[in-house]
Amino acid sequence: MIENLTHQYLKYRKTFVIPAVTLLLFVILFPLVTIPQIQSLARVQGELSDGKPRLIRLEMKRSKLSSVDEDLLKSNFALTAQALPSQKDIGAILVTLDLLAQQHGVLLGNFSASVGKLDETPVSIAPAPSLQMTISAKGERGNIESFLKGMSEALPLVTIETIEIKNKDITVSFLFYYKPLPPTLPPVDSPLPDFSQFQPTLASLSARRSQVVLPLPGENEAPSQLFERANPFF
Amino acid sequence: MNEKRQINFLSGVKGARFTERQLRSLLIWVSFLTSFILIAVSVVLFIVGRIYQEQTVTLAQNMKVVEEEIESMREAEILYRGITDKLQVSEKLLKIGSFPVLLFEEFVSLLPEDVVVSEYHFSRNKLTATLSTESLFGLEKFLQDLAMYGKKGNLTNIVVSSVNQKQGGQYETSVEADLIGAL
Repeated sequence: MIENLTHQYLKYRKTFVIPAVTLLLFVILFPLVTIPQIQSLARVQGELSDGKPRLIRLEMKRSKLSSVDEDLLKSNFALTAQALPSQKDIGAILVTLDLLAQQHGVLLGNFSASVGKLDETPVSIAPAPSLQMTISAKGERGNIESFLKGMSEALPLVTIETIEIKNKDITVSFLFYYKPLPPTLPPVDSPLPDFSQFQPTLASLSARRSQVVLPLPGENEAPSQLFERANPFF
Repeated sequence: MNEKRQINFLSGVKGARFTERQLRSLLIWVSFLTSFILIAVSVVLFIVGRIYQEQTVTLAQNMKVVEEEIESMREAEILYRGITDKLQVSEKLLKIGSFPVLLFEEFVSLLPEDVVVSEYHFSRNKLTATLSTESLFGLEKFLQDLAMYGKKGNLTNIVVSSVNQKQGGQYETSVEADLIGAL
């Protein structure tokens, strides 16, 4: 009797075992399988959503670089290098000063500059490094005026720091700037700067270049060529 | 007899009484549904995952191709960036570069014919000039013009530090002024 009752009871309980085990499996498998799957999917989706804009940026950069006119790029580079040489091109500034002095009837005197190492690579190229130079000259007031004006409008670009005039003698100290090419490129997907915003600057540089009578030394000219001419200073 | 036995499944809820058969049936359905959901969700996730994976691979390949093309134009990029860097600096220098000269020109343009600059010094936004003249009237006019010029906004703290009468009827004056705005 007791055995029969036990058997009946167990048979009855077995019908609950399968669904109960299934539920238990669900409870175990859901965090073990499904949740990692969802996490992995979210990660891949994140990669995709990050990657698509990057690809768009890369494609834009590629098309921008492909559409650049190589000749125009080179001529613009020559112009900007004349305005801001890539290195301490002391020769360029001396030649310009000599030309300006000749044009404006000013007699150049002593000059001094601390050039430093010519092959020095600036630690940071963010602000343009500069080289201070002081020159003295002699001339009539009108000539000195036009010489100063010519200097402030010539290439390479300079900023005049001090002007000292005593009768017909003038001493000017100015900063001559140079800007090396970027030593390293930023990450490949970094966008290229917008060139069109600099068109007015490019136009003013071009206008300045056209004011100079004799050609200035170019970027690729060997430095020795600059000094083959007679010393413009006495 | 067992199957017809009623159990008080949710004794707190009025009328929530199930037979054991109903309870077993409910359990079976719940387990079936959960199994179905687990399998269905896994399958869907697997398929979507595969699609995303393929898209990721394609995206990575496309990116690699474009990156290689950009790398091949590295020289052009260096030039391009070099030009824009130089233009950026040039833009600033063009704005400030000629200012001391303009100031000098304007200062000189204020001078009457009979007033001569014997010394002019401009440094660190400060202008100092020594002027000489035989005409006190001319000097007075110049100082008035200079004060008016200062009011236009380029010069401030204009100070006439001395006016001396020298031998031979010569007057000499020293003027100091600060330039507004840093160069």
